[in-house]
Amino acid sequence: MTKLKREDIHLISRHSNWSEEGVQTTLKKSVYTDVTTWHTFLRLFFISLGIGFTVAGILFFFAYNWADLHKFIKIGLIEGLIIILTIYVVFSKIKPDIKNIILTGTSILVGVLFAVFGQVYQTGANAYDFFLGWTMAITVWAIIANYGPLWLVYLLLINTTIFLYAEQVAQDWSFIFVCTLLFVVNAIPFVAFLLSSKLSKTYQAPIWLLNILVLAMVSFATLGILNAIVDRYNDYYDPFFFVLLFLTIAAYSIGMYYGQKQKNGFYLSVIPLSIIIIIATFMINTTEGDGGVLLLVSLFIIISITFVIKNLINLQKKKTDA
Amino acid sequence: MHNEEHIKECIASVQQSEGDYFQADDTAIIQAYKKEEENKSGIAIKTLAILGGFLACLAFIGFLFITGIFSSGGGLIIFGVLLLGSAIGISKTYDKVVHTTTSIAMYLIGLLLINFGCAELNLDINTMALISLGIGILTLGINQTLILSFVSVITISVCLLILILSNDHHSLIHLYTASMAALFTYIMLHETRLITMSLKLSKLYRPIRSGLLFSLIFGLIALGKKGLIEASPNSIWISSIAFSIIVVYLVYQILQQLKIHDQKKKTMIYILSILVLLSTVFAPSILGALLIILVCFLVNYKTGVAIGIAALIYFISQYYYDLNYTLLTKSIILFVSGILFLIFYLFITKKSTPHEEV
Repeated sequence: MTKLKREDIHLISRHSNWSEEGVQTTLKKSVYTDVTTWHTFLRLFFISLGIGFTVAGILFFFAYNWADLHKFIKIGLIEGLIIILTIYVVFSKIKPDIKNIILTGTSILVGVLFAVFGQVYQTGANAYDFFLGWTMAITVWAIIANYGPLWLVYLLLINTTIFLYAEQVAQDWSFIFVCTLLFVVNAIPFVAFLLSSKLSKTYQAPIWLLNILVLAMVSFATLGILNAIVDRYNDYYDPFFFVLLFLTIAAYSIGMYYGQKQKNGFYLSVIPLSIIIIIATFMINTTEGDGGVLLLVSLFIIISITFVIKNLINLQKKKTDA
Repeated sequence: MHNEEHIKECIASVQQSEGDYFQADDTAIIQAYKKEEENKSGIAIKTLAILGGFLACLAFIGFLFITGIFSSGGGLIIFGVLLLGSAIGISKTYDKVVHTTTSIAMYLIGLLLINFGCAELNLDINTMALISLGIGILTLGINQTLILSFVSVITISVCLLILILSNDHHSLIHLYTASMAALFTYIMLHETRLITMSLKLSKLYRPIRSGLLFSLIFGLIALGKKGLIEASPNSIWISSIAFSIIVVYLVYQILQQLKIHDQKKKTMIYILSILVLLSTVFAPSILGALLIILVCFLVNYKTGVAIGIAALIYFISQYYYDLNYTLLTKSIILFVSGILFLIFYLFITKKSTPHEEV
C-alpha cells in the first residue's frame, strides 16, 4: 500500500467525500508517530535531559563558592568524575549515540575543571586562556567522537577564544580584522567537513552543523562589511577590509555556484539575503538618510527578495522533475 | 509525471481501504496537487518572504518618519486600506509564492498606515488594537493562503498581547497562554475533523497551526522571562494548572494511541508524569514547551517538535538563571531532576516493551 503523506491526505480529503473516520485511521496509520519512534524519541529525550541537568547541577555546584573544601578535593572530585565517565564511554557496551551524549557532557565538565583550577590558583576564570585551555583539552575527543553536537561545542569554544583574545589582549586588532579572522576560522572546518563527506563513503557531516557554519561565516562577513560601510572614514583604509571583501566575494560566488549545482536552498537564501542587506545599508548610508531613498530601499528589498524566491522555486521544480 | 502517478496511487490506495462509498474528484485533486507542487516552499522560502516583507516595512517606516508625510489621518487610512486590499487581492488571485513578499510587505505597511492614521486622529491604543484585530480576523475569512494567513494569525495574537499590556491587566497573560495552548492542542488533535469540515478550514489548517504555535511561544516568553511582564507571581499557577491538565490529557491520548492497557503500567506512567508536572509548577513556560513537544510529536509535526525543543532549552536556562536561590540550592534541584530523568531513561530501556510517559 502506498504510504500517504500528510499533504496527500489533506488534498484528497478536500476533493472527495472521504469520511472522517477514514481520514482519522489513515492519519494514524501513515502520519502519526508509531510506538517504535516514540520509544527512540523518549530514550534520547530522557538521556539528554538527564545528562544535561546532572551536568548543569554539578556546574552550579562548582560555581557556588564552596570555600570550605580543600583545593585537592575540589579538583580531585571533578577530575575523578571526568575519568569515570570517560572510562565508561570507552569500555561499556552502550549504544554509540548515548556514548557521544555522555562524552559531550564530559567535555563541558572539562570546562568546569579549568574554571575550578582558575579559581584555586587565581588565573582569572574569564580570560581567553581559560577557553583556549578548554578548547585544546577536548580537541582529541571532538576528532575521535566526530559527533555533531560535540563539534558544535568545540567550534563555539574556538570562536569564543578568538573573540575574547581580541577583546582582552589584542586590543589593537580592528573590528574588520576580527571579522575576517572569524570568517576564516569557520570556513576551515566547513571546507573540511564538506570534503570529508564527499571523499568518505561512510561519513556524512550533519547538515545542520554545515548550515550553522555557513550562517556564522555569512554573519561575520556581513557584520564586517556593514561596519566598514557605516564607519566608512576609518575602515575603508583598513587593508583587511579588502581582504574580507575579496574573501566574501570569492566565498559567496563559490557558495552560490555550489548551491545552484547542489540545489541547496539554504545557501541560495542566506547569501543573497546578506548581499541585499549590505546593498540596502550602502544605499541608506551613502545618501545620509535621505527619506526618498528609504522608499527606494523598501522597493529594492521587495523586488530582490522576490527574485531570490523565484530562483528557489525554479530550483525546486528542477529537483522534483529530475 | 512522477507526481501524478504518486497521487493516483494514493487515491487508489484510499479507494481500496475505504470501499465503494468513496468518491473523489481525481482531476481536481491532480490540479490541486500540481498547484501545491508549484507553490511548495521550504522553510527557507517562507522565512525569506516574511523577513523580506518585514524589512521592506521597516524601510518604509523610516521613509514615513523622515519625509513626515503623515499629516492627514484620513489619507493615511485610505491609503492603508487600499494597500491591505491589494495585498489580499494579490494573494487571492495569484496564490503563488513568488508574490508573497510583495503581498506581505503591502499587508504590513497597510496595517501600519492605518494605525498611524488612527493615531493622527487621536484614537486610543485600545481602539487601534481592536481595529487591527478585526482586520486580522477578516483577512482569515477572506483569504486562505499559507503565509498571509499565518501573518494574520500572528497579527491577531500580537493585538491581544497589546490589549493585555496596554491596559495593565497583566494577569490576563495567563488566560492568553492557557487559551492558546488549549486551542493549539485542540487543532492538533482534531486535525481530521477540521480538514474534513470545510474547504476553507482545510486550507487554513496549516497556517493556523503554525500561527498558533508562534503565538503560544510569545505568551510563554512573556511568562518565562522574568521582568518582561509584571504579572503577579501569585497567579502563575493559573497557567501551570491549565498546562498540567492539557498534558495529562495528552498522556491519556498517547496511551490510547499506543494501545497501552496494562493497568499497572498506566498507573506508573501517570505517577511519573505527575512528578514531572509538580517539579515544573513554578515554571509554566517549561511546562508549555513540554506540551508543545508532546503534542507535536504525537501528530508528527516536525517543525513543531524542533521549535518545542529549542524553547525547552531556552526556558530551562532562563528559569534557572532568574531563580532567586543560592547557587547551592539551584545545583541540588538541577542534580536531583537530572537523576530523575536518568531514572526515567533506565525505566524505558529496561522494559522490553516500549511505552510512555511525559
